[in-house]
Amino acid sequence: MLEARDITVQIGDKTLVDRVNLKLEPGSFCAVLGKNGAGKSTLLKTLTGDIHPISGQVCMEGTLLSHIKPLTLARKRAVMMQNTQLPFAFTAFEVVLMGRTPHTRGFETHDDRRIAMSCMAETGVDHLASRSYPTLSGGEKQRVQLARILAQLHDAIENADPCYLLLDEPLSSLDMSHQHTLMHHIRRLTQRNVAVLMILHDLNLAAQYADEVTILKDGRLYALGTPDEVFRPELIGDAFDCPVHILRHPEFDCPLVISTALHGKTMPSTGNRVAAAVR
Amino acid sequence: MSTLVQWFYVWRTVPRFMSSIWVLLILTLVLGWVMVLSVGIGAVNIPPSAVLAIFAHLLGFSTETGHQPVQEAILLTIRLPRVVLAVLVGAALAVSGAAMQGLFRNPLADPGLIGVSSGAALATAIAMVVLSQITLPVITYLGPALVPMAAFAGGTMATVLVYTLATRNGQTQVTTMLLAGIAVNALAGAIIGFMIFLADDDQLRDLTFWTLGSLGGAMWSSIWIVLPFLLAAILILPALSRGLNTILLGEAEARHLGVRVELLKKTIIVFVGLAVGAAVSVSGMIGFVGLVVPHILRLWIGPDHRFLMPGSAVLGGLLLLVSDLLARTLAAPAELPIGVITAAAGAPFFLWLLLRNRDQEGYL
Repeated sequence: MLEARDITVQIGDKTLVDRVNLKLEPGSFCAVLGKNGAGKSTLLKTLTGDIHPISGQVCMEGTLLSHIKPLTLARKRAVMMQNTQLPFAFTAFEVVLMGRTPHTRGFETHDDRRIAMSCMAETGVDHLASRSYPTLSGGEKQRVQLARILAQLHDAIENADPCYLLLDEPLSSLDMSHQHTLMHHIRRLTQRNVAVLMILHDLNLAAQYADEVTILKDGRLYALGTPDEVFRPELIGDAFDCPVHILRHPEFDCPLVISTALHGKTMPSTGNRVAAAVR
Repeated sequence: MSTLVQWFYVWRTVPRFMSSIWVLLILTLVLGWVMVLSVGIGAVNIPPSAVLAIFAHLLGFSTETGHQPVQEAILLTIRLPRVVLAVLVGAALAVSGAAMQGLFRNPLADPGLIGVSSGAALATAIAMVVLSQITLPVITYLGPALVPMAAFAGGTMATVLVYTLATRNGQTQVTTMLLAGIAVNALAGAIIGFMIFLADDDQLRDLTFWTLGSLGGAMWSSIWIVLPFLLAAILILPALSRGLNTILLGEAEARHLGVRVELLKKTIIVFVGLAVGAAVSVSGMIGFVGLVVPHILRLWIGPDHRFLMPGSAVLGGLLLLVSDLLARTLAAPAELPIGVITAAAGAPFFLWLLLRNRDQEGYL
């Protein structure tokens, strides 16, 4: 279990994450939602140990994250950050092969290459294997990075050992069909004891695939529960400052969020206020 | 069927791997051959066969002594130290360059960037212009070793300064380090300018030639002093290749892959600082090798540091060896500064590679 106990993150005098508690069990799929600047990425970086909270603790399976050896951690936890750039012309295959770093010393074995290639097939990028990574499109890069993450956790997933997958908007540049294919794939991983924490912007993807939804607002935990519990018009409308209708999905019996904000109109008030301030 | 297709895709990625190994092998053979060739070239010519016979004799493989003793003396006391130094300095500079480019995730990074070269140059200028005028027992005792010692001290001190400026709570900010390096370079440039203003004509000439580099002072005694620093970089930096590969994805990404990023950064900075400081102290400023050798190789065999680092060592040694050969033969009996050769030969080649690559893939 990955657990955040009462964590607070401050940078300068600004509180980015405010006393958040969160538990992530192997086998569950948790979506983290919230407005821009709500603290989603900061929370994720705290959970990965990249940012140290000024108070509170992050524990994995009862041990403080900072007390776990980097290599041990890398074998059971993989992280996908937003738009990973690569300044040099590695091939897509070489990038995915880097996911095998915690498992082999020196040079990758034949097995590593086989695993890397099958992970590329899972995210639908095996045909791009010999392409230079910097020349790929945004969506292709995301799928290659996802393949790298899967290659990193491959051993744990095979053995159904508990492992953790933390993803920061992994699908933001993908088309609809790829979004659903990959969500479906990640959803299936939870059956093999994988815990998934995913930052998302698409509420309907969260409603359709996640077991649990966490909504952040101004760095605080605003709502936590199953999609059915959390997706209520007044709650979502308030969390996102955007009026919504919630319907039922005609096929999957999950909530379906429709925004009812500002069709064909400009944003009210803000513009006038700025104009007034200038005057 | 789909596994077969996958095998095809995997197979397409193999040739780069194999060709990298071939490139390394061939470069090493060429380096060995050019070493044998260049110890024989000079005012007294020694044919390669005689060179090999002398080595075979020394190593006890043959008892035949067909060569003249004078050839053996020239070979061992004049030519060989110079060739060995050229290879060591070239290799250390190129490996350091490759490591810096990986660490800064920037193909244009260079050991000079973090202030090693300018720190060494500053200390050299002060030693040549000011210290040499003072009669202190320490300075007269050091004698001709004064300038190399100053260069080494200046180089490592500048590295430590830049590194300290960029490190807070044990975390090194690579961008801050880059900017601190630029500031240190500028400040060193200002003080060197002031030293030039103070210098007399002879000192000015010494200083100018020093900044263009030369391997003319190569002796076994000086090689033994710098050998540990140069060898450490040549042998240890390539062992960090895998970590460097992952750092190209980003420092956080490397950490998530289980790499001890802070330790890696510190190790690289220490060994690069020591090696470049040592190289500058024996050979003056030799620009261009650290920047261009890894670049040429990257365009040739790809960016994987596990091939790039040893390959840079070999190609760097080869490039500097050939440059030194040209430097001492083109205008014989006079010697051209080696920095002139490395830049004049490498820069057009580099441009050609860039243009070729721009047309093909559009990425470095």
